[in-house]
Order: sequence, then C-alpha cells, then structure tokens
Amino acid sequence: MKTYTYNNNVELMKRAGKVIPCGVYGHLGPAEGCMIPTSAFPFFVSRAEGSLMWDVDGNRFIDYMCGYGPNVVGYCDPDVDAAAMEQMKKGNCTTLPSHIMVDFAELLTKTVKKDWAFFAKNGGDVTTFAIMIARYYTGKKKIIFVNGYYHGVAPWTQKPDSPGTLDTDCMHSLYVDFNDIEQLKKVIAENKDEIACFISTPYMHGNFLDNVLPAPGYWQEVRKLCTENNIVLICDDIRCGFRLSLEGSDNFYGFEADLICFCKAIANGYNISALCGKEFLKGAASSIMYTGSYWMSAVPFAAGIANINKLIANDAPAYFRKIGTMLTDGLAKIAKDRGVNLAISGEPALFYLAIRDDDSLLLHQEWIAECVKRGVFLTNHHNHFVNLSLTPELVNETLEICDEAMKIMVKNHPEVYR
Amino acid sequence: MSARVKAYVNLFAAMGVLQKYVELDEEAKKIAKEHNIVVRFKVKGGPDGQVIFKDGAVKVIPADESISSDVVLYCPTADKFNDVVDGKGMPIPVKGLFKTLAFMGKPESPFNVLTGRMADIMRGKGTDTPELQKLSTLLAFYAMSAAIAQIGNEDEIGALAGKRIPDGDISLEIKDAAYATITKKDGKLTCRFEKTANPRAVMAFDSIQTAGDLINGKADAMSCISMGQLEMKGYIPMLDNLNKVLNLVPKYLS
Repeated sequence: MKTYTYNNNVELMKRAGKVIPCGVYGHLGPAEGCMIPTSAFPFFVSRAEGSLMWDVDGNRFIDYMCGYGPNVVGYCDPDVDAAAMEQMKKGNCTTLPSHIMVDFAELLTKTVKKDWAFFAKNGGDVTTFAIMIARYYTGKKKIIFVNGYYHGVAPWTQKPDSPGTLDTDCMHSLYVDFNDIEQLKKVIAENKDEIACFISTPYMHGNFLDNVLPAPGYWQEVRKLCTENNIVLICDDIRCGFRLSLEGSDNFYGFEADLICFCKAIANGYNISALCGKEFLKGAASSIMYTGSYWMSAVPFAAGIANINKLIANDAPAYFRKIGTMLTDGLAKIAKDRGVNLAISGEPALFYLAIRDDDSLLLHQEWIAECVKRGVFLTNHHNHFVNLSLTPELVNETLEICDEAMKIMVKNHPEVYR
Repeated sequence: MSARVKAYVNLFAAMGVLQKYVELDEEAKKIAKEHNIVVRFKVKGGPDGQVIFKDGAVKVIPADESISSDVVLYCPTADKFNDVVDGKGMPIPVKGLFKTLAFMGKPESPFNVLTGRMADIMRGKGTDTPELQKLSTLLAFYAMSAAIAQIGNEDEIGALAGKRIPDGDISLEIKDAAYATITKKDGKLTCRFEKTANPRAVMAFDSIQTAGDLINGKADAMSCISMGQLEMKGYIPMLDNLNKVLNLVPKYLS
C-alpha cells in the first residue's frame, strides 16, 4: 500500500508559521498532541466532500474527525448548502435579524425538548453564557466541574497555570470525578449555598483516557442533588449533540438538564451555536447583555434548519450507532487477530481508540501514524466522529488500511508482540 | 517571583549545571580536578544542598547527612543566597572558614572562577566561536531541565502542573547532542543529566539551534512543534503539564 508524502503541506506550514501564531493554532493544529508524529499528518485541506478530504498534496483521506464534530451529514452536503446559498441571496448579516431565526428557534426547541434557544457562534460562547445565567439566577458563585472536562478556552474553564489565566479566574472552581456521586455529595455539603451550577458533558469523553459512559442511575442522582440544592444543571452537549439523539443527550441518558449547550453538529459546519434552556431560566437569560456581531446572521440559521430536518428524516443517530458499531467491531477484530490490546470506548458515534500494550501511548501513536499515511485520518488522542455520508464501503476500506497499519506497527515491535 | 523558589533554582539548576560544565569544558575540568571538596549551602526556609567536587567531577545534590561537608555556608534568607549567587554577597561560613576563603573567598578563587565563567557562557557573553555558542546552548538546556524539576516542586503555580504530571520518565533531548530526564515519582520531580532507557514521554529538539532559539525566547514551543523542529511523543499529559512549568523557567533562570 502506497504511503503519502506531504511536501506542499510542509511548505505551506512554513509560510503559515511566519504570519500566523503557531502556523495552525488550536485543536486543528499539530501542536495540541493529536497529530503525533507531525510528519505523518497533513496540515491543510484543498477540498472535502462527504466523508472524504483531499490535502494540498492531493492525498485522499477518509476523515474520522469530521472537522472535530461539525461534519454530521457530509462535507458540502447538497441540501444544507443549497439552503445556505438560497438564504445568502436574501441577506445574511443584516441590521435586523432574519425572520428565519424564529423558525430555527422553534424547530430547535421542539427537537431538543427545551423552552427557549439563544444563538451564538462557538461552543465556548454558550458554555460561558450558561455559567453567567446560573450565577445570575442563583446568586451563587461556584462551579462544579468533572475532572478531565473541556468546556472551551475562556479563562473560567482553565486551570490557574494555563498561560493567560489568572488564579482568580479559577477561584470558584470545584472538581469531582465522573460517576462519583459520593464525591459530588461531599463537595456540595462542603460548599453549601455557594454552588451555582454543575457542568458536564453527557459522558466522559476527555482526551488521553478511555471514555466513560454514565453508570446506571448516575445522571438521575445528579439531577436530584442539583434540584435539592438549587444548583443549575448544565449539559455541555457540544460534542455529542445530535449524534446520540436528536432530542439532546440529556434525554438520551434519561435526565433533564436545565441548560444544554449545542454547537458542532447543529448546522453541518455553518457557524452557529445554541444554548437551550428551561422556562424558569428564560428571565435570567433575557436580563444578561450578551451578544456578538455575527450571532444573528441568517445563513447559518438556514443551514441549521436544513441540517436538523435532514438528521430527522434519516433517523441519523440510529445510523451513527449502526455504522459506528460496524467500524469499531471491525477494528476490535483486527486488533484481536493481531494480538493487540486495543481499547475502544465511548459511544459508537464518537468512538475513542487506545492501544494499551504500553503505558506511554507510543504504540498507539505509531499505529495511528501508519493509518494516516495510508489515507485514514484518525488522530492520536481524541474521540472520533462518524457522519451520515459514511458508507459501509468506506468503512471496509478503512478497516483494510487500519489492518495493514497495525501489521506494520506489530512487526516493528517484536519486543512487545512475540 | 518567589525568592525561595529562585534559591532552589539557583542551587540545583544554575549551580547544578557545574556537573555538565566540567564535563564539557577542558579548562573547567582542569580547575575541578585540582579540588576534592564538599561545600554545603544551607538556606533558612529554602534549599539545603551539597556541591561535591571529586576527581574532576562535580555533583550538586540535596544535602545528605551521610556525606561529610568540608565547608558549610549558611544564608539566613533566600534573598541573601540569591545575592551570593549573583556575586553581590557572601554567605556565613559555619564550618571550614579557611577552606571557604581559599576556595571561594576572592573573585579569582577557583569556585568563583568556575561559576563566573559558566554564567558568562550561559548568558552568551564572549561566546564568539561556534564551539562556545554550542556550549552555551547545551548548558542552558541542562539548566532549563533542572529548573523544571525545581519549579514544578516549589513554585505555587508550577506545583499545580507538577502535581498533574503522571509518574514516569520524561526524556528531554537535543538530537544527538544532549539528554536530560525528568522523573516524577512519589509526588516529586527530579532531574538527571542522562538519557532514560524507558521514557514515558519525549520532547526532542531537532537541533542545537532550535533548542537555543527556544531557550533564548526567539521561538516558542508550539510553533516549533508545528514546524517539525520539536518532536513530542508518548504520554502527552506529561508534556502538557511539563510545558506549563517550562513557561515559568525564564522567570527564575535569568
């Protein structure tokens, strides 16, 4: 099997490095630990369609990162793009919002079973707004986080030793482990009448560790504790939203969040996020001045409407589970046949992979690198994503490449695989 | 900046690099060979360590009561000790007054000549040949590595990241030129100037030039990774947190 070279990617990165901090900053860039070694990965795309992308060297990849989530019905989806283009002709960023904002809010609240929707641009916009609402509504300051969390990059989400963060930004942060109700009870008891909110993703899909699903009864107990202690329960559904259930991941796991944050898969890559909430918090949301230049642009609303309707029409979460299971079952079989301890965790729609035959993750990084160099775009230590355009044929092609990549990794390590 | 943490960095990182200086520089080696002596620095509320000169080699270690000191120098505060390191003060000799005077009593005393030359080289003063520039970067690399361990243990903010570094060895490397190992064990970070056989994570500069640019603040780690000049692999949470400590190093190691 031919392996890829990245001459144009490297040259472009050199140009980028001169005029853009880090060349490519943030989670799409190679410096965040998800593209190891960097020499195995492309840096820039030239075009994308469905589940495929082509880099600036012309290399073709089956893409399991989906833009880190937004690609939910397929890159350049004709239905979503047509709706966006149609709206573009009518106006986008206008003095008054387009009437379709109301259409989208109605569709979204009905779909995710909440009473209101507030729109912004990025996930961090709405997690921040959720915290502000909780603090304003309860008159309390503290936030309970779940260890291993990611809720964006605003200072309140960081640790005091993060560059650019002050220790005072984190002085109201409390931490518990996922699935640990006793710890949560203890923290609540120790901070009685001081906790504004509990914020968590629906399951633990942090990086660098096997993902953890909620234990039976966990969320129901969290809900009860929050209600009893006047703590706003915030579900950060930015990564999982619309992939596990169209009704929101709180409904999927059988509880009701007070506030739920959506972004990524809401509009198939058009730039919009949403905070949806229960009626009793609408007054607080109204009272806080919170806005942005592009938050009411109409094109993303049109794309969002078309996207959600397409997800509903195709019963997308059921397909994600089916195609994700086909892929992960295939990977599990390959690993078993080759004597590799491959841990597959999380939900099939957002599966997480880790080879557990060393404690350094070096074997896993080598395997992923060999996959990428042959045209399957996976990253080292982040959950992956599937989308509606992913076909069984592409999954079979993926499995063939992953098998060859694993064969090479195993052969290179006779000290581990005898 | 905490004077106490700076004192730890000064003793175990800045002075600690004497070990590599006498290995890498012939003149330094010659001076070191002439002295077999153990000097102990005791700083009230701060570090307590021994600088051991033996058969041309130097080691700086946390004070070990089983090793007898020829000279014991006391500093009543961390600030006083930092002044001593900066050449602006003298410690109080509580043992070995005459040896103290002979070894470090004057600017031309062997200890002061060694540390003064080493500091000049590390600061790039008079490093007008490629060899001296290389030595400067290598010494700065070792000092940076040793400082990471001290800051990750002792600095209030650095310790937050230090605590989050999982157990194991982190290999810091300048390809084919220099190796240091940071070990996290029993809640503490330690540094040794050698390659580890079993790294759990690796941070490797592709060249002395890249390492020098990063240490001198001409380049940043994230950009070096993007450009392929700095390779990071293995258990990345170790490196994520180590980088947070690394960000604090220039504050202490000026």
